[in-house]
Amino acid sequence: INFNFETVRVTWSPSQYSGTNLTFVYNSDEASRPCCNYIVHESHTAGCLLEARKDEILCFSLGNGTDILFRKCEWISAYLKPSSPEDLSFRWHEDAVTVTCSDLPYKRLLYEIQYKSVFDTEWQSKEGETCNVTMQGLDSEKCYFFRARVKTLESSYGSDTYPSDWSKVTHQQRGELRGEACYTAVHGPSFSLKVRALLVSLSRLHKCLMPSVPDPKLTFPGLFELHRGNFQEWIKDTQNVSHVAKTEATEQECVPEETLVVQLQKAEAEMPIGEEASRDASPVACQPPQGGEVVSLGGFTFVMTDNSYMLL
Amino acid sequence: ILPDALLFVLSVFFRKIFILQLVGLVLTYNFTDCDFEKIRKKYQEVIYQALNKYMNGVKSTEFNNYIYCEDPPDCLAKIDLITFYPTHGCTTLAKEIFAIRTNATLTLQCPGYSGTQINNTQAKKKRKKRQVTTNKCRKQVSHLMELWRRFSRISKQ
Repeated sequence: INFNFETVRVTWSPSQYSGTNLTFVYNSDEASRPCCNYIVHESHTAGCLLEARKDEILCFSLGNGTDILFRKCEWISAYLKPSSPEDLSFRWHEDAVTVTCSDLPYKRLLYEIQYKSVFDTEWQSKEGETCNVTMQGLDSEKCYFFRARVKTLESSYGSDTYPSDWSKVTHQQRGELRGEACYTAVHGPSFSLKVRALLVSLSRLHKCLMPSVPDPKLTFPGLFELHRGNFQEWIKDTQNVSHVAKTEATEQECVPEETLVVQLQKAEAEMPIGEEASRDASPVACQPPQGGEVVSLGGFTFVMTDNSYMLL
Repeated sequence: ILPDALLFVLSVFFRKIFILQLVGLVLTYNFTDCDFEKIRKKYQEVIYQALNKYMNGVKSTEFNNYIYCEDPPDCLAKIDLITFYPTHGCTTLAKEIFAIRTNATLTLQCPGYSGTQINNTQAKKKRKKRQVTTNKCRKQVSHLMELWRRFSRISKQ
């Protein structure tokens, strides 16, 4: 491969030549020179890196010391790989953009510019014989990605050349370079409406799956203001009085229809846990309460210990 | 002292050599004044395809390419030589499509270029034999392709 008329890399397969260490000799300034920079693979010579000086013919030979196994003369231009374009510049004019970069110092090349918007899956392509390519029909309000590479004209270099690597992808919107913000650019009312609708749906789903914990202030008025959060005192003060505070409208949509759930934390409690306990008239429900204070709410009687709580 | 007969023969011989050299000088065309850009465009538009068609899928890189040309006039001189002057093993290139187009292009774009006059009698006789593209001829044409490519890379835009 001829890298931009700067370096030429010649490689061969060591296994093809019985795994011997081959020597590479080439012509330079009409004199034969051995390779100074071998490429080694699995302890055998597998290639040579040499300096390219100009558009010239490289004559070289591969030998195993005494015998010449292979000899060839080739134009190095036949295996050209141009260097990648750098520092792309953009000039917007209404619905067209002109992309420019520095031309390489040799001719008969094709500069290929590719572009796509954030909603396109495929790249659009435009080529020019210089790095000055204009693309029409773009919307400067949209965010576009651009990249460039260089190819050779087959009539001038043959069919065995390599295209350059792609340049870095740049993002452009309203004639300005964009970074990651390009991915979230809003560029139309329909898009914003869709985003808002999506956000609202996500918000509702979040509230449905993870309902907020109700503020006990609303359910137990005076609990924190008068009794500093002491539920025992509050109960004494307000026994037989039940206030059911209205829950938030949104929570009512998602609150599952469940009856009171009583949870006993301490091991000595033998009452079963769960909703079934309140409904089922099993022997479990008839066990006499063990210790703790008795609480009556809405016609129901509960025995409270220090470790138990009620969820309404 | 050489006999008169020998002197006579030698004089005739050297005269002929001298005349031939003069003729050679006259026939060697100087391609310096050609319109290289127009020739390059014609090469890209019509001559390149004809060369490719002749090679029929065989790449020029399969051959040893060792004929170098320095500048556009040098490239055209070598293209002219290989295209129109037969070599041992390949005598028929001048009648091929790419050669006819090359001749026309050089005649048009190079002032004073007389072109190549193909001997029609010989052409008719040879048409009886089916033209077979030999490997020797392909080798010649691969040199031509590389010279044309070099010419197109270095001719000014």
